[in-house]
Amino acid sequence: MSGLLQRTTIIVASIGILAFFLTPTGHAPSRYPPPDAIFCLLAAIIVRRPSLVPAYAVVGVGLLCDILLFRPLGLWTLAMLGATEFLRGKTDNVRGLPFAFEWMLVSAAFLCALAIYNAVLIVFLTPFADFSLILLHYLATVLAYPACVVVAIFVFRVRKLHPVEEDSAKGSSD
Amino acid sequence: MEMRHGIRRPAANARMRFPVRRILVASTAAILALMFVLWRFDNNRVETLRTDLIDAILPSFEIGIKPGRIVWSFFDSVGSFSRIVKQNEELNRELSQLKSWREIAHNLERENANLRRLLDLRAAAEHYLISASVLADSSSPFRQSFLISAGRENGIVDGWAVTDGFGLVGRISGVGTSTSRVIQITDPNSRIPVRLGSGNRAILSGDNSSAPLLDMIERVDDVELNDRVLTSGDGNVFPANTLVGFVVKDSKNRLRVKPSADFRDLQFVRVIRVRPNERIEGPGELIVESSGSAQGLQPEATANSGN
Repeated sequence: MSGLLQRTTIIVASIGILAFFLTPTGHAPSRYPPPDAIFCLLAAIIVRRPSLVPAYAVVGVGLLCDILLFRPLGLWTLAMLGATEFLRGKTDNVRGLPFAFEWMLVSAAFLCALAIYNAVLIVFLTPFADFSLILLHYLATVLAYPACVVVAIFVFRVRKLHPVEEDSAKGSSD
Repeated sequence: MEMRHGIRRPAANARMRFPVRRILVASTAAILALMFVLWRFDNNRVETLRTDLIDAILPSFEIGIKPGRIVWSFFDSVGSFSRIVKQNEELNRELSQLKSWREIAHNLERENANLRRLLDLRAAAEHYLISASVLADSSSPFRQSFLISAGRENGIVDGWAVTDGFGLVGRISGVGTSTSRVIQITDPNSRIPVRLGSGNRAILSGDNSSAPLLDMIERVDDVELNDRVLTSGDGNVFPANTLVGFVVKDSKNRLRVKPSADFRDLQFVRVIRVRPNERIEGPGELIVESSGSAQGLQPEATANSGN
């Protein structure tokens, strides 16, 4: 699969996840918030091949979610951009390390994003959710991450590259 | 890209690309932060922009939502096979009970009509219903709302009540040209004045659970379990006497309302068009203004007649 095609597929998949969340079924509030599958998928790919998910894709998908899910505009996008940029910088460190380490790193990045997001909401006196709900949302996301990695590897064919390969991939895509 | 540069090549490459990219990302972040601040302090205008954007985006999303609906309904039907037999028995039992109720209701309706005619009663200003289908579920775990397929061009106005035929679902909040957003009564921001039988008033406040909390009850001792809860129409935004649900108690002994609306299967809703009540202002022609003492009384008289 060529880089451009792969990139488009990933963005379309993220929007597909959003459409899935938007599907009107069961309007009763659920006790268990669903995981942030979009973050998981993007993070799983960024840790492997940062060039496949450029920052503008993260911002675009994030803003679309913010608008359609009636979230405070721009804030979660900003948190997600921060977390993904952090993960992008850690790609070289993760390469060759066991999966548990990567899982911890992504979980930590998501925790920071979530904490900053809610802290800003508190500072700006915006209503925010129950602490227990946020915690459940966090746990669901952490648990969903391995599944997203499986999807990234076997559906989107994203695998970790050797530094030299990564460089030549960059060179060819520029 | 020659190989003799080897491993050191990416580092040099990265250093060249770094500043430009970093500046771009940082400025994007700044714009996002600005967007949030703007949203926080000029909420109305930004929300209007948002509804217009959704109006534009949503039609193209229908394509994505339709397969989603099919997938969901597949999961749903697999899970429900086991329940269906039991449900069927229950429904049959309920049906036989309801048949006798229907007879009673018919009789009551006839009686009611007769009595009304006798009284020459003017019922509250007529409501009309606007039916709309549910387009998308825009609720996250922390917000409870959805989008419907009627908007400004169908005459929808902010604040109108939305029911599903069984009970109150929520109210309109945000109107686009052809879509509008409904905030469910289970949303944490939802506050609705209600009446619990015998003129006892309360505020129904959503808290993300499936049964919203009853707040600020006028006379707590008078509330009984399974009491019918109706909208009170206070504040002139909501129509009065729309069924909301029934009083229940939760595990912490707080009073809640189990909604009559079926939130699990919302496909079509009805928006209740409300004609604003005519305001009764001023004392009319009855009180002749004469001395200074009458002027002192006037504002109070206005306030009373306004209620």
